[in-house]
Amino acid sequence: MSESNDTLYRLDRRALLRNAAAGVTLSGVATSPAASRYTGPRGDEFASVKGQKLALAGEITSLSPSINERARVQNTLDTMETQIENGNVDVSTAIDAIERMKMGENVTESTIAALGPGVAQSPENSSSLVGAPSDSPAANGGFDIAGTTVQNGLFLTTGLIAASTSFAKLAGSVGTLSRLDDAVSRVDDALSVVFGGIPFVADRLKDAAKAIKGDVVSKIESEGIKDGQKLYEFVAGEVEDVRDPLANDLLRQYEQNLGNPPIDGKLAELDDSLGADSGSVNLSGTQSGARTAAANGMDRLNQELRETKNALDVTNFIATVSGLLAVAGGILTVLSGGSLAIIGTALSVLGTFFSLSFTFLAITAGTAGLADARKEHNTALDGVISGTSGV
Amino acid sequence: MAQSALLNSLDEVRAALKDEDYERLDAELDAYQAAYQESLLTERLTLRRSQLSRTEMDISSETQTILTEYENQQGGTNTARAGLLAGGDILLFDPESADSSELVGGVSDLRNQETALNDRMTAARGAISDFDLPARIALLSAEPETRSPVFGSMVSIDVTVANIGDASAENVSLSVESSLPVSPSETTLGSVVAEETETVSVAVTANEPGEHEVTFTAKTTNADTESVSASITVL
Repeated sequence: MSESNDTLYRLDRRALLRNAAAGVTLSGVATSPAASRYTGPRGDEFASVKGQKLALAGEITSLSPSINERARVQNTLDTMETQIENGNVDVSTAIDAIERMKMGENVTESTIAALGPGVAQSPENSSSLVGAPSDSPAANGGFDIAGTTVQNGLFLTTGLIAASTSFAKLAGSVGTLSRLDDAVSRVDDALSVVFGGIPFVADRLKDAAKAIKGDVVSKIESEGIKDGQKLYEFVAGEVEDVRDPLANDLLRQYEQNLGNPPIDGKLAELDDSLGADSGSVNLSGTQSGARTAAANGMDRLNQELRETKNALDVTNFIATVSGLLAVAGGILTVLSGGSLAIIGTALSVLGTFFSLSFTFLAITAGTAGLADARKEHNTALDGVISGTSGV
Repeated sequence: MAQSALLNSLDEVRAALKDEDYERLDAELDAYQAAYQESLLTERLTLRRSQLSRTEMDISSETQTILTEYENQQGGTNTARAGLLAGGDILLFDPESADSSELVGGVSDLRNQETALNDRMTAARGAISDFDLPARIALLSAEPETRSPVFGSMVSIDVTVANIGDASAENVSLSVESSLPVSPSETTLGSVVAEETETVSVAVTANEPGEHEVTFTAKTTNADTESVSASITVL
């Protein structure tokens, strides 16, 4: 691993530590038996499963920027308990139904933890039925595809618009450099790949990148810094401040709006499949079939995460962004010093512009990974609902 | 034909760089710009349709791969184009202190990228040809004829409005806002059918020095609004 990539990992670790400090980790979630009105046969077992279920739902609620699974589950369990007390549903069937929902929710918890900035307790979570394999990017509960995508997008965007700004200022200072205007337009075209690749947070991403770019340009012009690595480190500090809110906004889209259905819609479908509201519980397929479907779904999800991680860990990404910032630093420093005769030296740092196609993968792969992970989540929950592993 | 002209112009740019023949370099860079300008709107339309497909449609992993590879290539090719234009201009401005060999390798990379872009764009268009995308208005172009007009001059900005979807966009209009005087500030375009483009020419009066934004907003009654801004600095 290059030193540059190592820096990126340290950034991710900083995010994990910050989340932990903010209480996003879920060590405080109770998994002890929940209060239960029902005290008939297998009453203790029902209360225990109910408690696990509520804890798991609480973890999803804590991890997710938009899903209130805890409230939905509380309502379902209360209805289920009433049906047991009224004799409409026998307690064994109710326990099986709740176990079935835990299988699905476990997939949801792992999915959201891998997609967003939150850090899950799984696979150590005692109420988990299926944990991420140790070689999975999600094994530590903190992969954060959305955050990495936003972070890469911000770095690349800031680097490009800083360089583009230096082109525009150079063109403004030297009236004969008319192609620089066209170069700025080509950079704008390239930026549309980033913004269109993350359309749901594009406006905020643009605003954030513009603000960071403004700070970078000021730093270059006031302090004469043209070293790309130093400028990168300055940008990294500002990117860190806006990464998580943007990542949660991006994740929210996959939870609520994107796909047919989105993640929350499929979770609601799982809840409805228990049939608590209809007064009877008719589970399809078998419990073992549902369990296998959940396990297979987790395998597919983890395979998807591995592929996405490989795509997002673009070699020399930081070196590339540093190169773009060095272009801005070189040109703007020369312009600030008023020494246009040596502007030709800026050519020596323009090489970065010719090898950027792989860098855009660090953004498009992120949104592709988010969409594919959502699909794997939904397929797994379909299998849990139908109780068949073949779905 | 356009693709071969594009590649030929790059071959000529490279030859001129190797020969350090800057007069020829200037002419060949012009030829290269003219060649890719022909395909810019098609590229932008295809990019937006690809992104819309990835956002709105449940697509297969294979299609996802085709589209992301194309989008990545589109981004990479455009930055490489920017690199050549900036590098070429700087070299022509100050050939004594610049080293033309720095650009020779870049031109070779760009030539490969232009070829890859053509192939991947064709693949992407094929992959989404059967989709039934919803109507979506996009502003594909809003580039001022110059970004640094002198005080008192008039700047023309051609704005291209497109429907990147497959359903017709209804009651489309374009409005323009800026701290500088603009004309027209509102244009009605009516219905815009699938993949159709309409170009509106907007005149901006550069009557105040400094940096200014000109913001264009396209609206339709059956799809989302889209806005883009162009920055100009009045000298």
